[in-house]
Amino acid sequence: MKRRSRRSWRRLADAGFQTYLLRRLDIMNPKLIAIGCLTALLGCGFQGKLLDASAVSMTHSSLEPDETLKETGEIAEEFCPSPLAVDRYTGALDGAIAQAQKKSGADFITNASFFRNANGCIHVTGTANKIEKRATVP
Amino acid sequence: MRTRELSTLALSALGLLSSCTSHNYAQNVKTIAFDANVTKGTPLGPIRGEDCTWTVLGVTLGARPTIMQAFVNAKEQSGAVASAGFGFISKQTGNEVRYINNATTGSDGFNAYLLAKECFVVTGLGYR
Repeated sequence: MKRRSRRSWRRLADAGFQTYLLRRLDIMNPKLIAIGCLTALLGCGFQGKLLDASAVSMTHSSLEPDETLKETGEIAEEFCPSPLAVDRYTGALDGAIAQAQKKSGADFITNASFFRNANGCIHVTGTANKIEKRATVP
Repeated sequence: MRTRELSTLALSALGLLSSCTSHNYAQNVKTIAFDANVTKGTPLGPIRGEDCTWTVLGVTLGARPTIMQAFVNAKEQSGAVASAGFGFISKQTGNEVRYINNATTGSDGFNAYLLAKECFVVTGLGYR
């Protein structure tokens, strides 16, 4: 009988151990992979409507009694949080509102709706509004 | 429990953990209003709203928590019963928040294996 070297025994043991692990854990089972992916999708990889709000703003906290809002147009913006950020969705609504306000020049966005799409981007729709002083009655 | 079932659980948990890293959609939104009238109102101080789901022995009771429901509960200043998904029992009226300043969202809860609680939490300064 051919005598095996020490290296050959080690190689055989490594291969045996790997096969044993794969069989024991059954980690390559397609069903398990599918279940894992499905769980991840259903878990927090949420897609759909995040929030509806009557008004949102990143620049103003409220209106003074002598102020009113004037509609200036519709808004449909998409904000994609940086994929490199550690905590990707921290402040995603803040970013979406700030971007929409900056591009439209709005002080408030009324009838705002926020959606998260399949790419993980936040889509915001609503009406842009500028603050105006109320006309005083003489 | 068989090894295959254990690895299924481990893989599912890994999937959940990897995709559940953040619920902090709002870091510090200056104003989120639930009413078209955003004229300066009466301050109510710090408010909190949450939407939670309980899991007992691996069985999830009710739907998964949503950020939208957490905001609704913050608006209605709903108690713990409503926050757990039983809003029809303790719905309050007349005490509603008109808008929130410095709104922040986050996650809360615990996992004691046999019993777990997962929540979306909204905090901020409420005005009526």
